[in-house]
Amino acid sequence: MATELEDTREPIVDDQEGAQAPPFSPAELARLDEALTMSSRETGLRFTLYIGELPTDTRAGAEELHARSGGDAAESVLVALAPDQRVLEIVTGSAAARRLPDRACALAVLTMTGRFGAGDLVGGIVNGLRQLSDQAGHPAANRPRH
Amino acid sequence: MTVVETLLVFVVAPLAVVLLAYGLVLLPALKERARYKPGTPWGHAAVWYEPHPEGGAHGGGHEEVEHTTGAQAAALTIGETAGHPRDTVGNPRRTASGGARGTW
Repeated sequence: MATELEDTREPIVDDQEGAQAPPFSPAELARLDEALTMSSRETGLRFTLYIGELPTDTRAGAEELHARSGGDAAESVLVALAPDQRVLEIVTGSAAARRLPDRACALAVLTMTGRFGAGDLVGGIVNGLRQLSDQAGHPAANRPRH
Repeated sequence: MTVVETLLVFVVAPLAVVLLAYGLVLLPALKERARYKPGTPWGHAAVWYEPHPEGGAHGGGHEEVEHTTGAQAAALTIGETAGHPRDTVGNPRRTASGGARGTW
């Protein structure tokens, strides 16, 4: 399984010189980049986005990716989508799960899969991330005190 | 009007106009990359995007340091036990504790 899931983590940068063209246009990449970075910055959680093949047991594959997502895994949220398998998995770490209960994730999944079904991958991802970060709110340190 | 002129005016000219319209319609679609349609093969290598680090470093050296796993893994081993994603044997430990799944 480890060979199947390659570690391709990278922040989105403009000058990508991959052998294969990225699946998104520069404008779409900019939207994804902003959604990822802003939702991570607002919530203090670490959102990462994986797009590619997952093993047959997609849940186990996504959880394995989450374990390898770098940084503090407890605070990280992995959004993994497999366009070939038409599966979307959201995996939350232990600290992230307290602020993003499974029901909130399920609602975001519903939003996203609705857009994916219409062929709008980027719109679905951006809206889903927005919904997740709205639900998670600000980290405790940044919250206004009453 | 000769036969050639008739052909030019009534066949070639309309054909040219039609082809021009055809080209104008199809050109933008050709420039655009193939749009994802559910059910069609994806055909791209797996990508894994992560947020830019706090402070907005953009492709700087700082970023490189942050993404070399060796140094970071060592730091995590020493500093943190709670979020440390490897067990004693060195296999990735299960870090997931929630989430959701959906298909389309």
